Amino acid sequence: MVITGMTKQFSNGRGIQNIDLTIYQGEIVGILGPNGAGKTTLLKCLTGLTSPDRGKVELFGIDIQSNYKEAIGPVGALIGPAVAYEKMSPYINLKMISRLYSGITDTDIDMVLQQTGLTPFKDEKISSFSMGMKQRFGIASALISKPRLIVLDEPTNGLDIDGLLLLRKTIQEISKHSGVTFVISSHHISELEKLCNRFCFLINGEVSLYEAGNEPLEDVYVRKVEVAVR
Amino acid sequence: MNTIKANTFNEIQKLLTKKVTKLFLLSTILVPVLTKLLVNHLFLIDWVALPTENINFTLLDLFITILIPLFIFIAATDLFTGEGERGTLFQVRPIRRIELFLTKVIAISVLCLFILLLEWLAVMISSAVFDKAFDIADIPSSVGAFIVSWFPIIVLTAFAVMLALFVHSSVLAISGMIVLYLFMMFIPYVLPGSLYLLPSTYLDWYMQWLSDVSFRWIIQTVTYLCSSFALFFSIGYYMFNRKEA
Repeated sequence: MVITGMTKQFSNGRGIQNIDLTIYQGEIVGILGPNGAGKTTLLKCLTGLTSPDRGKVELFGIDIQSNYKEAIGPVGALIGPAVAYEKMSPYINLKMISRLYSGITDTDIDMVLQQTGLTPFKDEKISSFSMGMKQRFGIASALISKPRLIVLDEPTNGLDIDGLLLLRKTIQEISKHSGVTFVISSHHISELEKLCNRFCFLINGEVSLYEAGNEPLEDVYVRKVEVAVR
Repeated sequence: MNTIKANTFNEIQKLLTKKVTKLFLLSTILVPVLTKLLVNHLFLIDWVALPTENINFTLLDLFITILIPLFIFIAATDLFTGEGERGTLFQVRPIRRIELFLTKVIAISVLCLFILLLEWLAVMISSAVFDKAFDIADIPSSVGAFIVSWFPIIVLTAFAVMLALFVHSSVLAISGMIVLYLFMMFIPYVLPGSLYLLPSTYLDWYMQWLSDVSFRWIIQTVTYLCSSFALFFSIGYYMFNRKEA
């Protein structure tokens, strides 16, 4: 994934400026930054949900703006709160998503439901779900297409301890066995530290990168914020 | 599965899950049956003298001028404004915006055709069962009337979708559409010259097809319907494409 010179400015002055970022196949990259730093904007631009003012995004060598459908085919994403057609069950929701991809079977749907711990609730309406269960569904909807790149924006929001452990285990297993790339934004710094091998700090709309090392991530983050404030 | 086909199927499934769609489908069957029952067996004895076709076309008028427009407004509001509110309108899926927009319009239009055909079937069966004056020779003209009625309905769908994209609130969208539709129905009484410029005027164009239809009229009306559809569809897509998740 290659982002070149990406800028997106909102009328309130917030946004991201001139971002260059390259993420390689199989990496798990954590995006960190304070509220309003532009993490969600970056992920929305990266997945084509928002058009950047300037700059370019290439996924698997394909320009997302000129060839959206082909570029986004191998991407699964959960950006913002999990959304679903709430009058339907998670199974039907996933079935609807699966129609847009080729080669996804009912067995794949069952497997994703199992991975996210939703099998006992597969026929219940999503409107009856708690926030954490909806979040689990959001993760299931990102996994269902067997993507090569998974973008997760605050995936741990609303998850209970079981959900958190299950998510961590799922990400680690998928990454280990399928070489899938993950881009994860979160405020849970310790969670990211356990999962990611590279970090992207997004502060005041600008990025700086950090490879996982011996120094605690929290210390690195505090130092980066202090430098940015100065 | 082809993306257009797959997403049209998805959009239809979403609409069919809604209680209001089920209610419309139920009324499509019940209204003709109950009307025929009332006309023939209860208190409207004088109506029995009416040719059965007149009652059938009165039922068609009821659907194409009131019930189907109402269904279109609800469906367009739900698939566009409502999904915008709920955050389900744009998701990270391998489907282009034009395909997403098109499939939503197709889904509403296909369900309208289904409602029309279901109504025709209900009318025909209830006519055969209840009407003393039922004549099998009336079937070709009635099926033709129901099918041609679909074309102005597609134009109204594009119009409703365009309106749905101008607002961010479902309540505002549905109430705005109803008020505008009522305005379009009544404005010709005040400004007769506006009659032929309004898409609502052509909803009952099947009546023209039943009488002696001139080639000139066909060209004029079809051109108007096609250009109106192109205009509403293009503006609607322009608005849709500008939206951000």
